[in-house]
Amino acid sequence: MASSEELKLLIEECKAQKAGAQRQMYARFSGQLFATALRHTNSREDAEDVLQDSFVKIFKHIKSYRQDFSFEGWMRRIVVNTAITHYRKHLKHQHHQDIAEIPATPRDLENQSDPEFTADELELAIAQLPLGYRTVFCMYVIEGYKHHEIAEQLSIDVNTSKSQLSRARKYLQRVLATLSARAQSTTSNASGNAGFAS
Amino acid sequence: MKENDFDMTQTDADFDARCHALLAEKEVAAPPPGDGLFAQPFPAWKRWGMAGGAALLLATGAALMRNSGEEAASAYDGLDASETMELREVLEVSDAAPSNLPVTENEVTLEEAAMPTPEIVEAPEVATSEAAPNVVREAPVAATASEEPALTQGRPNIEAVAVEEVQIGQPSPTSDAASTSTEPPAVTDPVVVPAASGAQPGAEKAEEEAVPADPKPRLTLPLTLPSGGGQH
Repeated sequence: MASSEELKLLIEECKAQKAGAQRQMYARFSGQLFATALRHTNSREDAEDVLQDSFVKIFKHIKSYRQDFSFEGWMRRIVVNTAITHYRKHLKHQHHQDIAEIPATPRDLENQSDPEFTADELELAIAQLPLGYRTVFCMYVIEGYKHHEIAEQLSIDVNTSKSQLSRARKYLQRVLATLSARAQSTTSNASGNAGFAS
Repeated sequence: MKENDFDMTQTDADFDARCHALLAEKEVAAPPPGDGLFAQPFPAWKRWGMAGGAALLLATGAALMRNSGEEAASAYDGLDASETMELREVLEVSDAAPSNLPVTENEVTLEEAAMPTPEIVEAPEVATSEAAPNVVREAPVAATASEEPALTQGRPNIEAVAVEEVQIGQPSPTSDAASTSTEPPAVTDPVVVPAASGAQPGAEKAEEEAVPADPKPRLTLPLTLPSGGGQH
């Protein structure tokens, strides 16, 4: 409760354009928003640009923020929209890679239904996705957008959004299963070697 | 039967929930903020400059107010009590009846009929501001104006004297006629002269004509001087 009251006070001070409050806001939320920016961009440099532009928008439009919405969700939406704008701006310079061009995982690992993976592994797998698929997946799964919102933001059809999400999800499940199987085999090999040695 | 790729299974929903839980709250070390991201605090020198400017404005305003008060006080100090009273009467008259200046107002309203309200509002200000400096100069005029009844009452006497002088100084054909003829002296009758109220310009003209012809005009001077003009 105290943190929500502090956040309200911080928001009010940011609405008054106080530099100290803005610094506190940046220190408090920049890590989380930078992670969001990294997921929606192709490089760290792009993510830094997106983060900077996003905070400029946040401080500029914070007066329009209403208390009945999640402040973090409001900021993350700004980051995602900024990343989409950034992506569109640099679209002509980027080589579009379809998800079909990504090398497939071995067949024997595809049927593993519940792979174990960590956050870093998931991020690594997401980073291998083409940006279009990655954006749809992150907007739907991480940020909570609906398909019609994604279609509107990205200027694509709703069915395109659904198909890209499905293909991105299956690809991630394959990659993560591969990683999990390799980790399990490494562990079993290590334990087998240890038993053989003993 | 081929499964629709777009349909989300329970496995997919679980996978999405797990991904969300892992990444939604994840933080990464962010780069330092760029230049100019935060609101710039007001520079100290600008703050001092603003404060100095405000103080200068206040001091100037106070000095102007003091000077205007001293000028008004000195304008009253140079006058006697009677003049001050007359001045106040004139001010009251000019303030209470701005319609006493019909020419000014008519000119303003006719020439500047299309002007908005502020011009009309300024008209009394112009009248009062013009009246204020004229007060000192017009005070004797007002004093003479207040004594006009006395003058008009005295004028028949003057004119009567002038006529009598004319009658005395002139060769007076009428006297000759009176002496020679039997006609009544209607022309030289002083009763004709009292046109002081109605035919005053004519009487003054006759007086002016009569004065140069008078070999002794000194007799009229003390009588034509206004009695209240030199009272100080």
